[in-house]
This record gives sequence, C-alpha cells and structure tokens, in this order.
Amino acid sequence: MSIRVQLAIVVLALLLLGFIFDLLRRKKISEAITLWWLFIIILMIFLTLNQDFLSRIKDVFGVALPFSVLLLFSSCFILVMLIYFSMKISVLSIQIKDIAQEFAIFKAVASENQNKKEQQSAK
Amino acid sequence: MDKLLIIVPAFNEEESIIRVIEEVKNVGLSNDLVVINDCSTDKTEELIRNLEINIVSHPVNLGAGAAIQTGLKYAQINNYDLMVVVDGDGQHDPKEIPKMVVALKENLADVAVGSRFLTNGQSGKQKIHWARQIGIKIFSVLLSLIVRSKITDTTSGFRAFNKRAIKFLAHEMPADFPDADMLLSLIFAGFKIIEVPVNMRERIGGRSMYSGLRSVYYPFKLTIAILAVLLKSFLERRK
Repeated sequence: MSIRVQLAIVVLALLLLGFIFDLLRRKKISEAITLWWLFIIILMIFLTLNQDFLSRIKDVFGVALPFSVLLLFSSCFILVMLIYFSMKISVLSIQIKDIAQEFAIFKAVASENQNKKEQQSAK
Repeated sequence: MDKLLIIVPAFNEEESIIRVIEEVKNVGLSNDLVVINDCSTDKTEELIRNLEINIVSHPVNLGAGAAIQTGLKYAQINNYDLMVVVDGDGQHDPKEIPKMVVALKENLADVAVGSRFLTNGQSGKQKIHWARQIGIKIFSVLLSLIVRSKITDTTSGFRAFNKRAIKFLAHEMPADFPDADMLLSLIFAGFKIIEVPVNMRERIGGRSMYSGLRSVYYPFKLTIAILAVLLKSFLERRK
C-alpha cells in the first residue's frame, strides 16, 4: 500500500473520529456506540500503518491486495453494526409499544374513574 | 359468576363500529365492553365516545396484535376472568359469543378459537379470497402437524381467553399478525386450545389487515415467527 493511500486512510479515519466525538458532544450518539466506532477507527489506523501485520493477515485470507483486507474488516464491522442496530430497533419498538399501551390504559381508567365520580356527585 | 370482558379492537371502522357495539350489547350476557381504538384516523373514536362506551385509545397506531394485547392488559389490570375478542369490522357475529364462553368452560380450555371451517367445511356467509384460503390451509396443516392435533382456522381473530391465558398473552403477543405463532406459543406453554364452529360474515367496511402488500409479507413473517417459536421451545426443552 502506497504512502499516499495510507495517508488518505489515516486522514479519513481521523476526520471520522472527530465527527463521532462531535456527535457525542452534542448528545446525538451514546457513549456505548462511540466506543464501537472508536474501536474500529483505531483498528483501521493500526492496520493501515502496520504493513507487516496487514501482509500476514492478507496471506491468511489468501487475498491479493492488503487493501482488500481493510475492506473485508470494514464490511464485517458494518454487518455487526447493522445486526446490533436491528436488535436495538426491535427492542425499542417493543418498549415503545408497551409504553403506548400502558399510557392508553391508564388514560382510559382515569377517564372511567372521573365519569364514575361525576355520576356519583350528580346523584 | 365469572367476570367477562368483551373487547372490540378497531382501526378506521367508522362504517361498522356502531352496529358491532349494538350487536354486542344485545347478546344479553352480563359483561363489560371496551373498544380498543388503534389510533383511527376516521370518525371511529368520536362515534364510540358519543355512545359512552369505555374506550382505550392508542396514541399511535400499533397494529392488530398490539390492540388485542392492550385489551388483555386491560383485562388483567381490572381482574377479569374471561375475555372475548370481537373484531370491529363486523366479521364476527356477537351471537356466537355465548357459545365460545360455554365451550371454554365445558372443555376446561384456556383459549377458544372461533373456526369458520368447522361448519360443514363452509365459511358461513364470508367469502374468502382463494389465495388467503390456500394460506390458511397451509398454515393450518403445518400447525396441526407440529402440535399433532387438528387446527382448522389459524387466522381467526374471534377468540375467547380465560384468566390464565390473559395473564400469559398480556406479555407474549405478536404486534402485527397474532395468528399461528400465537397459538403455537400457547400450546407449547401448556395451554389447552379448542376450536368452536362459528359463522363469520363479510366485513361491513374498512380495510383488511391482510390486504395489499401486507398479504405478501404475511406468509414470510408467519413462517419466521413459527420457526422462532419452535426454536425457543426446542431450547427450553433441552434446559
């Protein structure tokens, strides 16, 4: 991998890191998710700068270019994140459904009790 | 005497809801009635409030299964012994409710399902699209094979539950299509289910939850849901 490609990847990774921390600062992303991103950015920088290690992994996977190893790692990470977010969304949907149901029931029960009180006071 | 609750889940049923409520009232059972309004965008809620019927209104549209689950939670909170679901679209004939309740008690069952296919293989006055008929047949045969007991109508929403089933389903209920997977979960959890022959009618108005693109999504979702229930049951048995 040429120095220029290495430099481009490192600069992009650092920009991504800055963007993630900015999102964290503005409370648009949680600390747990930030940790995931931090882990992958550090891994990308490490693999980019450590050519010997990248070559060894390249040989293990039997791919021609070291850059392909980086792409493979990126794809795996994206897949893991998608599964993680699918899980989170499913859990959140159930929680929102439960909250909406309980809210509706308590509102109905409160209204029924109010009606009963009004009927009693009318008598 | 058992405390009975009849719930009517409704989503955009302005054409049928009043008739359904009147019919339920005329059944003559000593029961309470509550309509679960799943955030209708038409006049359904206004019509129910004018009738001074108890209503639980979802703040957002949650789906047919979630509406029934809200009814189950309502029944659990208010300590009802039995609960019957009558759809707000007019397909279910409320005159059949006593039959469902009696069948539940006489057979010591936990859940009674109103089947339109037990009456000489006819679906009463209801016409069912051929594609849906095939779907119902496939899932009924599949479910019957899994549980080794004949189940004829997996998509029937006309159901009666006892207190035990109310408690269980208040926490375990699919949000969109509460069909074969729900019955399977109940059977694997040790609940007794019986089918009762009932007459079903054409819907008076509104739109079926099985229409449009949802009819394409439905068999896939149900297959996945059945597999999930089977896997869960298999893992629980191994523990």
